[in-house]
Amino acid sequence: MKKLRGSLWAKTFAIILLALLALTCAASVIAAWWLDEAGAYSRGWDHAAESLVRSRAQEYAENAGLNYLESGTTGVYDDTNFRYALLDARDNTLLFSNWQSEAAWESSLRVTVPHDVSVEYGEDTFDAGEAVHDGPEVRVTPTPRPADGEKVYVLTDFFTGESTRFSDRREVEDWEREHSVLVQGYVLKSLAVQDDFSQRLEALNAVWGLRAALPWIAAASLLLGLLLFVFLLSAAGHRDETDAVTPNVVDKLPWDVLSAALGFAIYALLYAIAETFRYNTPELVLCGGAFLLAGLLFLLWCMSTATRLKLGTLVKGCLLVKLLRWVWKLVKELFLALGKLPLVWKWALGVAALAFVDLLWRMGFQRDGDVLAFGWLLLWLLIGLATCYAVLAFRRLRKGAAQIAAGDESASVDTKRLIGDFKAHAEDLNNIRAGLSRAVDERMKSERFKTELITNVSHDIKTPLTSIVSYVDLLGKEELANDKAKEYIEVLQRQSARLKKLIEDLIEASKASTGSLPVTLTRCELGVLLEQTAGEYAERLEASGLRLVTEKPAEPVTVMADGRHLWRIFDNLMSNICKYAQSGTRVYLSLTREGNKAAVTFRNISREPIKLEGTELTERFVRGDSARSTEGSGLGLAIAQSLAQLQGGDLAVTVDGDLFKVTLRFPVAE
Amino acid sequence: MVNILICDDEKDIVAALKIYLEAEGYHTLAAYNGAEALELAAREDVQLVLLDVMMPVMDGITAMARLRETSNVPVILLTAKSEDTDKILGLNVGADDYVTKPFNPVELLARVKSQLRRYLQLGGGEVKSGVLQCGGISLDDKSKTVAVDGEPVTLTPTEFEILRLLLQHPGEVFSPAQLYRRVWNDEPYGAESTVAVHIRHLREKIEIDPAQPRYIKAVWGQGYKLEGKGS
Repeated sequence: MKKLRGSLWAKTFAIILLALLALTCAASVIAAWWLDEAGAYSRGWDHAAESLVRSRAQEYAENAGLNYLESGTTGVYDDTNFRYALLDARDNTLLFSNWQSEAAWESSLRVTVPHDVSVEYGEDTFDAGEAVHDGPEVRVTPTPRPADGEKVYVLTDFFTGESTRFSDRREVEDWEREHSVLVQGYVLKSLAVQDDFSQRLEALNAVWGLRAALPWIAAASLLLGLLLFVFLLSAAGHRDETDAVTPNVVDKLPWDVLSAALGFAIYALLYAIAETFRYNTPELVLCGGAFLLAGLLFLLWCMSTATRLKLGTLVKGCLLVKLLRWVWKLVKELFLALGKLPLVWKWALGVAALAFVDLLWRMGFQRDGDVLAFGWLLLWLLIGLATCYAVLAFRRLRKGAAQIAAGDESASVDTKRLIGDFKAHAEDLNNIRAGLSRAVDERMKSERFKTELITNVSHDIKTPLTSIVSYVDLLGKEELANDKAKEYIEVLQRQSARLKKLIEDLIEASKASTGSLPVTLTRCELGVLLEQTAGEYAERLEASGLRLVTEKPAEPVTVMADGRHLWRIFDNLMSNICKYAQSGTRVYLSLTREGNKAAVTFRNISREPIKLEGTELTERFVRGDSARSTEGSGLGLAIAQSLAQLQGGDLAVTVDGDLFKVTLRFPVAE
Repeated sequence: MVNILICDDEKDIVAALKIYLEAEGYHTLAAYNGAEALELAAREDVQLVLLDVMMPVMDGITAMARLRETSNVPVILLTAKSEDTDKILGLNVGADDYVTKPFNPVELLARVKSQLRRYLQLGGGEVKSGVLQCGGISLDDKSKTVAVDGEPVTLTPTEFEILRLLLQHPGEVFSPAQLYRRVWNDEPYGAESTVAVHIRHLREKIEIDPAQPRYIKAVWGQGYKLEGKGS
């Protein structure tokens, strides 16, 4: 089977065989139909013969009648088996006859002169009348018009061309009878002459024998034809050389063009067949040839389609499809170009387009209210959808932007189903977020680095310092006879202690200002803290010759603060007081409530004059003692201020002559 | 003979510590990293370990964790890391005390002695009834005596009352007003300063370093509490 498929000989043979089978089938079908029409299957030979003859005889009779009416000719069809007699239509008078009472099939027919009858009513006359040229003038004779309500019959004789007007239907009938003739046709059963009739009967005889077999022949040829058709389809496109399906010249044409051309051709052929079909040999042969040709074209089309289907190029090859694709590409490019326009232009263009469409609808469908309404609805639906989409897209963008503003780093705007400018905006937002989170990460990294620096550096400094302190201390314990050595050792001890304090303060200050100190806010009663401080420092104040006066309100004053850090501040300030206050004076430690803030004030008289402003004193390494002769790093107030700020409060220093005042303020916790 | 193991990667510090401790009559062993320390501790019989935290090979915290698997010997961590988080971490892992560098040699010696006393004399842990204990503090309510790390301490009646109250509720914070009511049985008018002064005296008597109390801790702005493992 595979070998056969590729063979050109097999295909050619199959086509020829198919053609023959098709013809056979067609012929048998037509013959059977012809016979059935003639009543051969139902009524028998006689009836069939008679009906075959009669139809032709009627034609002959009509022709003979018309000939006589027109020109009085008789003796037509003398060379055929047709005889006829003419009788007057009014009184059946014999006008002519060439039948000699031979055995014949009879048929009769009344033939009238061809004519036309039209009816006119009073208002319906359009004919203005006859125009008569009289020299330079033109006179119009108006056609006599029937009065309103009067019916007029206008009869036109096709042979003479004259028109006669009758006012009565009976008059029309009279005229018809006058101009008619009765034709009695006789087809001689002897059929001596070779004419149409004899041919028909010969054909009937020829086919009569086969009449029973005709359907079977038709069916069998049809079946075989189908098989061959299927074979040809499966063989379509296959060649001897290769196993693959190869297209030939026809297969490479665009399918729609091919289909259109072949379809047109086949239609034309079929139309021609329908027009010229007669039961005459020349016409039959022509029709058969045309039918065969049509069939071949159809086969060609089928085979080409089969090949294309096998190759998968059916749709691809279509010219129409190519055209559509090209148009689509054009449209896409157009939209792309439009998309690059600035936003406002795009909006303006869209509005203009919609307005134009609206205008067209209104103009074009002025008359039809329904269509206008439909168009209006459609327009508004489009507008609604477009604005809805825009609103939804904007909402998504809003949400995304709000999340980013709130600092949510993980939120990202979903760009699914956003187009054009909306998508660009969403992507920008996402970029901002990415940039933000990058910046935050950098900041955190630098913070971590700073903290690590503080802890590592502090460790690295403290280790050699420990050795210094230990060995200086050991030195101090040694029995040295050299007084100078003892003096030097004292200096070393003092300075190394100072160094230690300085380093600790420095680290504390760094931690406090970078905010890397952990702060746990709890409820702290400032009154209790005040008394605790007083208790802790009682002896030291006494040793410095200072008297402490505490003032606080009766009801407790609570703030949200970190107890340890608060204590550190108080410790710093009190230790400052012990160091720098004038001996013999009073120190005031008071707690007051100022609106919704709690204020703790430390007041003391300074021993040495302070030449700096309060704000300067809280800076790092600024010491009130400009000679820098006493112990102190200059960081105490700076640390205290940083700690206060860490907890949400603030520290202010005021210098008024010798009065040194430090005020701590914290918001009261309810 | 008391053996103390000193472990620090700084040779100078180890040498200095040796001098201090040997002057007090202790015998010392030296290690320069965590691995060496563990080795020595396993081989020798030590009663106290002075351990630095930042060391190569094996750091102090890891070494101590390993040590604690097999031994209950007191460990004092010695380090420049002075953050609260570091202290808490060290104490949680099993250290008995924590001293930051640079240290005061006197204070260090006092702590060493305190730990040794606890380990050698109070290691048995016999608890008599009517005796309140917390860490190194033991208070006998019947005989009205107080001892810290075995050493008896003389307290005034008020101080005794305060200490007993705190010992009875270890970890609980008492505001000065509450303390005043319970101890003086009187309404606390102008009480805070009195309470603060007494607390200070108490601290001076029972704490090694009153400025950095181990037992009676101030919760600033709220009151005072006794910290430590109670019984």
